[in-house]
Amino acid sequence: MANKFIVPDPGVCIGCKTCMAACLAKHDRGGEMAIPRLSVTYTLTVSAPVACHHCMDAPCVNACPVGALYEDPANHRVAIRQERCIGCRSCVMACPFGAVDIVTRTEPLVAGCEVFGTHEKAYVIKCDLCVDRPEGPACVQACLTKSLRLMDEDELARMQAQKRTDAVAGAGELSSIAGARIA
Amino acid sequence: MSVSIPGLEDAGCIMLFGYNPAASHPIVARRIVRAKQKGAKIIVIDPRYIETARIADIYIRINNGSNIAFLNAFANACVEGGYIDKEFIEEHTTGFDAWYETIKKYTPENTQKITGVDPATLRAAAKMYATSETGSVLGYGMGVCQQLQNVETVHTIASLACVTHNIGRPNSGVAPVRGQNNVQGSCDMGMLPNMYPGYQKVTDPKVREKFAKAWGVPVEKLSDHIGYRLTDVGENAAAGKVHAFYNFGEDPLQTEPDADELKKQLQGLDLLICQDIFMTQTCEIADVILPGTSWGEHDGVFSASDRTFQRFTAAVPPKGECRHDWQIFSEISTRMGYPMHYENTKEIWDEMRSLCPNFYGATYEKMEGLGYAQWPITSTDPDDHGTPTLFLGGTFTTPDHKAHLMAHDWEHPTELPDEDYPLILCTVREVGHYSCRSMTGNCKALSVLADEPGFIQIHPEDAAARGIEDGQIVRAWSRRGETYTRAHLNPRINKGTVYMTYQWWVGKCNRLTLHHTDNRSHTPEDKFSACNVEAIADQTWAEKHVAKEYAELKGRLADEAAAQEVAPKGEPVLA
Amino acid sequence: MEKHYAVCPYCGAGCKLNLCVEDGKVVKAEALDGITNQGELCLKGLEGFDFINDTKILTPRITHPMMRRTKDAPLERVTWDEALDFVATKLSEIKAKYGPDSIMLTGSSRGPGNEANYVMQKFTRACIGTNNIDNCART
Repeated sequence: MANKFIVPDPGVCIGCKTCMAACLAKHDRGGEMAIPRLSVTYTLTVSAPVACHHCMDAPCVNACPVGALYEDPANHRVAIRQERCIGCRSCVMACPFGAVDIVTRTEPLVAGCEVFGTHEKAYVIKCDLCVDRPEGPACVQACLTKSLRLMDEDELARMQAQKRTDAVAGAGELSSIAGARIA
Repeated sequence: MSVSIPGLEDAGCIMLFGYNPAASHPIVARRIVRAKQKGAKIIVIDPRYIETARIADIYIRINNGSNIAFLNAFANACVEGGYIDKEFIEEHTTGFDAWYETIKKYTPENTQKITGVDPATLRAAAKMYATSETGSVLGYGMGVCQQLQNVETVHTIASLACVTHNIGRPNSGVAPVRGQNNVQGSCDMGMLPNMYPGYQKVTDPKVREKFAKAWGVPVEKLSDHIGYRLTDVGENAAAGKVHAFYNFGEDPLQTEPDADELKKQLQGLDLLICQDIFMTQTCEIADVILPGTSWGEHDGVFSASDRTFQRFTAAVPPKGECRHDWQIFSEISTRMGYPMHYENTKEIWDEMRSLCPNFYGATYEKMEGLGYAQWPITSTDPDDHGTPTLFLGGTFTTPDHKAHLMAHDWEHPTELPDEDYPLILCTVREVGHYSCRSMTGNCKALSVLADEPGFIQIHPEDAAARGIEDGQIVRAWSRRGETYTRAHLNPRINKGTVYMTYQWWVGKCNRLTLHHTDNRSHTPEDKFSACNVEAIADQTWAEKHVAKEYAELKGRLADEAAAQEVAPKGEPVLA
Repeated sequence: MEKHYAVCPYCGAGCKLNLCVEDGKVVKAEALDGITNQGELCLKGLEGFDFINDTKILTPRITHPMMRRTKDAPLERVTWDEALDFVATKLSEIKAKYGPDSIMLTGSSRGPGNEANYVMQKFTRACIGTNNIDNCART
């Protein structure tokens, strides 16, 4: 089964950032960073959120020297092992979508039950598909114009099939045999 | 709104004029997306290429401050194109000839220099708006109301809807969408210097008699003249006309124009009372602060922008010693010799309904749970939810039940840009924040998404000419004051104008805005004043400077509020 | 989890929502199928509730009456009786000296609701005797 990913319909997006607020709030617990994992991006004519594509041959996974990013086929995604992250930002450079970020936080340096001081701990910030959320991704649920959807293999196949049908619709006109144009 | 929010979906054409729903009311923007999905035509007229412009059939970039010139030319194009409804005009309006005398002077061609709009595009939009078979809705917002010629523009919009018969039939009308959740309600409840609750005039002796009788006061005690406007409070204080200001749940030092001057004026009052839920910048200079309960801690009814009354309920008990606002007013009134006592909000609501015929049918029972009541609503029949569309059949609320067409000549805005202040300053809204920001600024997710020193939207070419890069702190100043804020280079806006969101306390646009109000509605001209912006070479210093200002402001307000942690000493204040 | 129905306190769209309460604290807002919002909320409706809990992110909640004994004195917490007596006495004095039109009041177009505003305008008109009452519709 292929990875899933979140895609926007830019025509329907109103750029309101409700997806970002929902994402931030979902992750603002259990010691996670209160930062949105997707970011609404505006050009002259397009508004749409950008999030991790959970690539099938992910450049971030390939670039990570310590295995902090890895393929997680069970959950159909590219997942994170935060404890391994060294903050080298290879993933930030490798990601073609600008959908990965590294953020640091000052944390105690602990060995056993002794605290030796503090250090800067790095965290990978990117979409995790809210796999621990029974209702599915928070952004998809919150989007008030239904611009966002979770794309999986089936949905992608349906879309492809529709596109093929649309593409072939006018092809009868090109037929060398008379009568073949009857749709 | 003469139409309802759900009804927007079924309009044949929606024309937005000086209104950016995606930032002000995302839920209304959603209805416009759905209207488009159902096949509606969309026209957007705005100096900025706003979100809705992206799905518009026609987008028109209009020059700031040219509203009346544009709308007159638009009306002219409707008449010239034969798109007006002569029968409707004849039967349901008055004053067409005098109206056209003014309109005919404004052609798409001779107004182009003022509006910046191509005549052919204007004509295409006029045709699209005026000839929709299903009906057209004209939505407008603060881009109309916070201008010098605000009332005139509203007259012109209403007249345009009338002559094209886009009011008085289903799926059409005018949609001024109110900015704050209960501005409609404040007006409904008579928080207006000229109106009792239910839009009953203070100057009407019959109205005064009715209220005097219901309230048990001699009619002579009720003032027979129109009172002062909030926007004039500073000037009235400075002139010695107003000695006491009872400020309930507002933060004028954040939201009103020319804030530095207003602060001086309010500091000169004999008495400033603030009844609020947060230590705001206005509370900071108050003589007395009374803690009201917050939304979530009390029951009540709000009026949505489309006249829909809906009930909300308390979820948690009041914090500390907070009391319900209506209890506080009742207790002061009782102490001042006019006893008032209510057990709950329903008792208040029922008294109000009994005095306002147009609201009489809005019972608490009808508004239980997801229930609602849209005024005018006279019947208490549980199945009657009121009136989604006003003026159906062309019956208006004037004495002769006809629409009185009005046209006005265009005037230029008060403070035009010049050599020293070459940029137009226009105030706008931040999607994730609200009003003075005391509520949303205390919400974690919303404050992480957008925080001080706020933003100034500037066209990339205006920014390049000043050496300003996206995200940098800049200095913005006008004849009134200066502020530091963050540059947001935005190719969707027009050159020559900068847009500042008015929610920021450090990057406060109201240090710069002009305090000029019109004679009729006394609304400040927040959408047009002159300013300048410059880059700051030392960004490290600039970042530290705004961080320091922000920390100091928050620290000062926290220190003021800390007084409440110390229990009263028990010495009577008045002894 | 207790749920209490409410209407969003932000823009004028009138979105219906539930405030979800756990241990006496509002922890979540969830969209209801209201006439205007049809089960949807924007970012303010969805994430704009925690100010009730006095987060002190921007500025603290006011939870006790406070006043200054003189114009230049610092704020001081007082009892409700003291605060209300002070306000009533001062307003009565100003009204007696300068007339009812020397007092200006403004209602709140935000969280308090229609009932609070109705009572305030009644106080303004019937008790103080002026029409100097307004709201922020203009800004």
